Amino acid sequence: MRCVSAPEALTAVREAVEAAGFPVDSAELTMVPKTTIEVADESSAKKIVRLMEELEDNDDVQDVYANFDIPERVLETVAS
Amino acid sequence: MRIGVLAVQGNFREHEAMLRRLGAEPVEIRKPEELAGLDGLVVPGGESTTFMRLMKLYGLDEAIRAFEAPILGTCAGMIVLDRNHLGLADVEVDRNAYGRQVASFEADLELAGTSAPLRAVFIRAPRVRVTGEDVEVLAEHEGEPVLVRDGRILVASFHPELTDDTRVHELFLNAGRGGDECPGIASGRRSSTRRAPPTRSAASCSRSSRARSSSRRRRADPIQPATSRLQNAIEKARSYSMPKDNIERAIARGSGADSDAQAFETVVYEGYGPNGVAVIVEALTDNRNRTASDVRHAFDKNDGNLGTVGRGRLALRAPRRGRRAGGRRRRGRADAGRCRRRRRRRQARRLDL
Repeated sequence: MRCVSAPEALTAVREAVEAAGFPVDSAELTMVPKTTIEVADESSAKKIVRLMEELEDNDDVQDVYANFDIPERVLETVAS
Repeated sequence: MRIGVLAVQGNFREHEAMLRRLGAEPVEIRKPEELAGLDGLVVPGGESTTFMRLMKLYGLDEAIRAFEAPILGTCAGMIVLDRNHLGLADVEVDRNAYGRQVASFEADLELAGTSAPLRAVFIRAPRVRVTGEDVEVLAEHEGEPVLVRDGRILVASFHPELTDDTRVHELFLNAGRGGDECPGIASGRRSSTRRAPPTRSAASCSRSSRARSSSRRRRADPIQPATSRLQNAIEKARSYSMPKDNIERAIARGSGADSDAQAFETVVYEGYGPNGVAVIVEALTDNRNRTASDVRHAFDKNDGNLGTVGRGRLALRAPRRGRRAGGRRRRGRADAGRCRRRRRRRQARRLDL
């Protein structure tokens, strides 16, 4: 289950969810895209995924956010 | 117990003294046949390349591969036992990865399952880059494994023989006695989140440890009520299943309570990837130049471009009010130039943060 809250309320929500007896997998502040860009084309999707991976592998990088929207089907072929 | 200490090169005498203190009988090993009938073997620190050459020369490399009792490898000994050399411990190690002789240091480590800190001396220490599936991490320094166990093989990137703390050697001797653990030392963390995938988890740990330091640094500034930021960092560290003591230590470090407080700062890069996908990268760095060039390189290589600050946010909204407080804090700082303050204020307004 996924639960989105205002940034100030993060801890309160987390505590409430825990109090209600649900284990919390992760609770974090994140950025939410206002618009998304659909990338249905495989080669572009591949490039984007590679860019994201490279950025995330950098030791200094804490978080990477992007607004791409790759359809499940394309993502699968890219990952394989 | 008769314990062999490889005496071709390096600081084997300190190991012998340590073993004697613990009631074992050290035996200096220079020839393959001397390995017969031993209850364990110590591969001490030294110079790993010389080490390997001498061992090959005497035929010790094959003999050690065939040796079946527990082995303790320290510093260069860790390199000798790794995947790329004798292949006895399922780890991959970088030589001299913490810098040169002058970059040697000491640190207090948290030894899994014990409460007292373990003082460790790192001298031109190797760095564990990759650990295999079955490798247990018994101690870490800044999120990187420095004492690991792979079955009967125990390797440390530091020099346990140079301090008075006997626990690492005890751990090794107890493996030889058939007992799995020695009193006071519980098993290493075996939880799956901790171990798989090991490299990733180590990196995350150090990364979020940095996040915490930075957050704590902000908090030291009375103008910003950054407790939520700290809370957030702690939450994140928890999700990487970072040990509580490490979290506390990172908080202490970030608050400047620790002497080796490092100046980490947050930098946000915004750019476009292929197809005009907006990308925001949040980094925490002690060296802006390095990070900027690394990030730029990643973008360039993958058909993207790193834009100027503020552009990517057009497409991604940041639900983070905390940023605003950050802006205020910067303005309030005495050392910030007026121009810089004004620019930041303008930026903050434009971005509606």
